[in-house]
Amino acid sequence: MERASESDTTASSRRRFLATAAGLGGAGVSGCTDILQRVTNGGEEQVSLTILAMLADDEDRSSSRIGRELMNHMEAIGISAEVELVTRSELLRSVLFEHDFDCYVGQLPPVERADELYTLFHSQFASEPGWQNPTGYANVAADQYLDDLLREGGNASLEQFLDLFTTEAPIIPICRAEEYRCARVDRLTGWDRNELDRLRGYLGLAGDADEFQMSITSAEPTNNLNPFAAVYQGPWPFQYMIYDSLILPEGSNYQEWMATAVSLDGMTIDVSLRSDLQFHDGESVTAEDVVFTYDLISDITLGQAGSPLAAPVYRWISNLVVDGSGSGQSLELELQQIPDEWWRVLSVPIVPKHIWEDELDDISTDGILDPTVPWGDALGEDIPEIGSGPFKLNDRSEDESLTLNRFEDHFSFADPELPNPSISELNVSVDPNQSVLIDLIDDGTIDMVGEPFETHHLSNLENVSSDVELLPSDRRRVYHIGFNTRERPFSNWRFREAVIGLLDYEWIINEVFHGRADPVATPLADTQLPEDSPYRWQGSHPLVEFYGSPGTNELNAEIAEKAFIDAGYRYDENGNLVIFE
Amino acid sequence: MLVDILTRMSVVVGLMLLAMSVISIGHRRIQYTIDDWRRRVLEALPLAAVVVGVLLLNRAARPRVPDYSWIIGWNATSTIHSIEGSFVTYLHYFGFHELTVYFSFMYVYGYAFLLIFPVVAYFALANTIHLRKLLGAYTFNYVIGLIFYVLVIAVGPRNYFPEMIDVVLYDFQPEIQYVTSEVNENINVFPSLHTSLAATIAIFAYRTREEYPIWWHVGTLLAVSVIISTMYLAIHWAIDVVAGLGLAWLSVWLADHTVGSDHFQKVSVKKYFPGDFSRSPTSRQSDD
Repeated sequence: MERASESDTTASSRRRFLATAAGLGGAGVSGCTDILQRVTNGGEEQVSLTILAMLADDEDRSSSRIGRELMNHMEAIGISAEVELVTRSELLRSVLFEHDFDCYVGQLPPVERADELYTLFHSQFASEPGWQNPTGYANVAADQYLDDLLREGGNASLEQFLDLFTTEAPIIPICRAEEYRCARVDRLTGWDRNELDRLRGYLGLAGDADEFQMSITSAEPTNNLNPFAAVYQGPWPFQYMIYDSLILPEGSNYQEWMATAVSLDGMTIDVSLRSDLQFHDGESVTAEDVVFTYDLISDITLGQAGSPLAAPVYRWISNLVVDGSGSGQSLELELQQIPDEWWRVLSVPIVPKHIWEDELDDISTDGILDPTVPWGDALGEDIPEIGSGPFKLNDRSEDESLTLNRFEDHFSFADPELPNPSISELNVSVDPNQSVLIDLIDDGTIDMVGEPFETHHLSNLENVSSDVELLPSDRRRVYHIGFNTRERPFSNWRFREAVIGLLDYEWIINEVFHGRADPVATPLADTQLPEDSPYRWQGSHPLVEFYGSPGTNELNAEIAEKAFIDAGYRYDENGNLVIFE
Repeated sequence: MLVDILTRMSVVVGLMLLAMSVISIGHRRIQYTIDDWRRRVLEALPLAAVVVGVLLLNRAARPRVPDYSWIIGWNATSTIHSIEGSFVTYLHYFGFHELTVYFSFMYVYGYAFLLIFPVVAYFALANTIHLRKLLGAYTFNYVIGLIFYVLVIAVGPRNYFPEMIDVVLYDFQPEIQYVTSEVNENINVFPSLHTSLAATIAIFAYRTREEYPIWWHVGTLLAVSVIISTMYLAIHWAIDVVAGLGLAWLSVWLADHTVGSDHFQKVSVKKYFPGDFSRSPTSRQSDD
């Protein structure tokens, strides 16, 4: 009896083996047929791509909607496209760090001056993380114009760069959406609407609030206040409240802050520090902390790695500063070039050397650079969020809330010339969606909304009580489509330029942004361009018009297909846009 | 905010439970339950502990699950959309304000009531087998659902085409999201746990239709309303709902074959009533 069952087992396992082998063999044969087919077809494959966009709910409706419209238009002309919806930090991780994407729909950080285009598009930064040329754009002439722009400023090199930029389109700028925050004025008044994403907006207000309730809908700032993580250059002011800088920008000028005096001497900036600077843990701030911070942004590994790895933020600054030295209350920063408004180099948040220096050895740089890693995981308790700013971090509850308290030993209280924080305790809570916030601020449950509203809320926002002041910011971020120019077919500027015509700007402004946005053809606001510039918006894109009737979003597939054919692409017999693989 | 909403929910659901208990369970059963509750608690305790354990585990793991999901999970939304298209938006052509109110109420209050009432009702039965199977099915629903949540990232239609949906729950009653965000992630729509649990409860309502005929009708109506509400409110795709129905069937089957199996019965019940197992518990009561 046993023998029979044994041979049964052997027989059945043999059968199983044969079945598997047959399966694999079959797969192998079909694989071969596949290859044969490809070879005989000349190796053409349909252009296939994924558009990364942000989750609509709570994150960003506009990004996903633009992504979907682009997908629909691409599908209509034989490109296989799909939209992948991800969180903002996942999108930034894929785009800014992994460089693993085809194209995406997102927002640039605010670009205040034209020469900031340098770090956005110069090929020198193509393999760096962060908002440093994430598209990987590399063009010799563009580099030259950007070098000139940075060195000399002026309109000539800007125009030359924009000529190239609008044709080659490493990104396709779409628009600058209106960005409204709001605050109750029955507690504090004198809000500067353009400074609410930075420290300056919370200083020197009229009135004094002991507990001030702010709401936001993004959990990101409660998870990470790392001043060197690019993703957290979001529209929130908290890291600038905790970490002070040498000067505070004020429009096109500056206010001495941690520095009592700054001056440019040849290629060197001389800085004198105040003598009453203190970190939140009681230690004094000296020139050594400042020098340490500038060294850190130039090389976040502090010399431990084979070559310097610059921090993904303040790159424009770390690119310019070649050396820093000093002690006590005075220091010098040596620049390799002097840009317009050289004092912008002094806006880096200063971190305490005595806390960061020793601990950084043990921490992997991935943890610091990866935007999705919370502070606790990357830097742990070894590097507490201690700065020297007018607010100190009192409590942080991941995904839920943040509490900042006024730092009473801050120098701004000692100096009558300087504005100081008017809030003694700032409670920030993460609420699920922006619709609730309008009601909450209307009835006084919260005092402020600390992030810009999405455009579809703006008409409701206008009905709030008169105790609530609406605060539109001019520091608006440009919505755009970004291409990974390292990948085909986006490595071909003709393809990218042809994509411009798939966008019906008029329809996008009216339908996606409800009319509350200004279309742009460049990463700058029209007001940052010379008056006679051909790249100010003139009703339609300066180079490529929509392949259809503007305002209707109806694509004329024939015209669109012709544009791609003119760009050098082919259609196969099934109507698919193909390239050789 | 959250506390206010939870308080309001507790009051409303509490009243619903009270009303349904009075209507459905009946005097005599309540009387027997008062006498017999210790035995029933002991019998159901192991499974109740398992359910609570799974819920607590879920709660603890919840903040971290999305991180793992993004790393190892399959982002299925575009696939779901390419199969299903905008079916869910068609429900809105028939939509109107009162219907939105009804479905919003069902999605939150109806669902909470639907989850709790059978536990109460089956506790009021002398044979705890239904209660135990129900708890077992809850557990399987949750555990299998959690596995899918880690492995599959999918966002619902309201995330995918928010502008096509005018009468959405969170635009209509935005403060509800304080509650739902405590238990859901917006990337966990596949499968629909609302659907799977509602369908599970409907299956059990059918099984106990002799003991509880009123509940058989009311419970099924509620379950169907909850299931439709997930699509009407554009929180789930129809595919998520189908998957939820499958999950319900699977969970009940698993519960039958674990909790309901002889082996399990012998092991668990015998431990507490070593002498009694020869006599089935149902023979003790005459009204079941």
